[in-house]
Amino acid sequence: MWEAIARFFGPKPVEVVPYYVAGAVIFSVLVIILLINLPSRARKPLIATVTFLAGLFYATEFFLPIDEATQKNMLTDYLVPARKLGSLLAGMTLTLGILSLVRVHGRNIARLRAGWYNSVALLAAMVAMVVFGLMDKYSTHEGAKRVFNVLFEGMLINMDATMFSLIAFYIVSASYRAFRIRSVEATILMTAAFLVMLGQVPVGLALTAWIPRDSMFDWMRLEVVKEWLLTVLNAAALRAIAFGLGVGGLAISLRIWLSLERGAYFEREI
Amino acid sequence: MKTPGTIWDKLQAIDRRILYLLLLVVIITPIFLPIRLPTVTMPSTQRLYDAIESIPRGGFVMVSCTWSGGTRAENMPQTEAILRHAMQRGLRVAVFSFDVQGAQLSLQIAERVAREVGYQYGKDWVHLGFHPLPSVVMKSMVRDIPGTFDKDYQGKPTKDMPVMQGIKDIQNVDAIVEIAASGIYGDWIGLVVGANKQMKFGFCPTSVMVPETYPYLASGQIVGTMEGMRGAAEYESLIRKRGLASAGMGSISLAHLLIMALIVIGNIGYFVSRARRG
Repeated sequence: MWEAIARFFGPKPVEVVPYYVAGAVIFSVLVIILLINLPSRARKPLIATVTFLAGLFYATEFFLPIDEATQKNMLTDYLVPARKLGSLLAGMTLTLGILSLVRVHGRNIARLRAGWYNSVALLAAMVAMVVFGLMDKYSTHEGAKRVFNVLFEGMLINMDATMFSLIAFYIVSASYRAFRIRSVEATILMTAAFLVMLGQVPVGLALTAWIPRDSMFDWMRLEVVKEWLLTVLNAAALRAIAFGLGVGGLAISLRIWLSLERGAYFEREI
Repeated sequence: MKTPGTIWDKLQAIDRRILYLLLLVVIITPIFLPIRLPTVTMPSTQRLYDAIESIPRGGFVMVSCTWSGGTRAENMPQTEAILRHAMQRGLRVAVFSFDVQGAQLSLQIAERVAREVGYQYGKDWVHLGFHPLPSVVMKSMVRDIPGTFDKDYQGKPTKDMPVMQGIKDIQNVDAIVEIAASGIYGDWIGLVVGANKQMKFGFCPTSVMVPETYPYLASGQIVGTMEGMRGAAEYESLIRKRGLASAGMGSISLAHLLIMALIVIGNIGYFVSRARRG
């Protein structure tokens, strides 16, 4: 049976690929319609079952002993198909996200709500990026490639960098206003911060660069002090936090896997 | 808001627009008037460099570029430095990304460096494109690399490419270097690093991510790091090819000094005005 399934999902000659794609689209639409119309009483157990089976696959593959000769167990060969299925699901979630975005912002535009022009800009940008992105990949039209280049490199990446770099300005303003030595703890914190900051940049390192390496005063070099603060004091605290996070993550993973999790997402009717 | 009275009160409440302008000036000035600063190589950078140096010619290195335009200032010089080093060493290089923007940006960098070094696509290096779901990809590549990365960024099959010959699973990989703006190193350590004890795992994070990597550096699970733009400048110095990161060190240094100066000024105002009030 597995071989028949593998054959069905395996590579196909180019001439029949459009039929497979059309079949997959029709099948997907039917499944989505079925899922939407499923009563929530049936939907919850279905989600729980699928979640459990998906988790069980990876857990079993991890814990099952492997054959020394092939370095595989009975599930190893299905890791790649599972990854491909995961990519498909990621693609589908992206589609759902786009549909949701179009619905929300389309409504804003149709009802001329406050800031409707922002919604127009968002949808126009999204459509332009999708259209020219596809043309860049699949068409030989030079003009389209140039437009995509302007949209992606000229605008998107630079706007992304601009948004991120704004943080630097806020950090300067916030550290100037917030860093007041009001207590012993604040003094220790600021001293450590100053040492790490100085040890982080060449101009700070230049201050103690005159102290000979491997001399008895080597420990006074800023990079050595910084390394000690980060690798000893800071790392110890981080290990403790990481350990706590790890245990917490394990507990949460188990709860999600077994559909025991309760809260905003898991209790609301969907 | 109450208007500050004395000079000491004013020192504690400098208009934020003046602060922004000062920062802008200290960042822009060194770009036009470069400041030559000595580079001190950190042990973590040296360890990453040594790890790449220790791989024999023809070894297989995977470079993952999980970053986007927002962190380009730090991650781009890191990517360029690591690719240049690997290519200068004659290693086979496979680049890929878990970020859509990262895939495009890393492709441009790799193409440029490969052209400079004389690397041939498909024979010496390959770009495996964008892959969603990092942990699923990692889990899959441990056992089957050709199956996981069956096509390159153009959709061409990778199995016949000379660069991928002899690469079956993680046991055939000499090093993985992740260049990222996120905590993705945890996934690599959890799912991949332990599967091949001989393989070296390097991590190139943005500066803010650096402190949390130290426990893993100490344990040896991360062989070495390139710490933000400063780490990239150190690496550029090690491979003797000064680039963007080295050029940016003046701006970074002055910005740090400005922050410290402002904190000191604010505290002087705070202490004097508190002493005067009794």
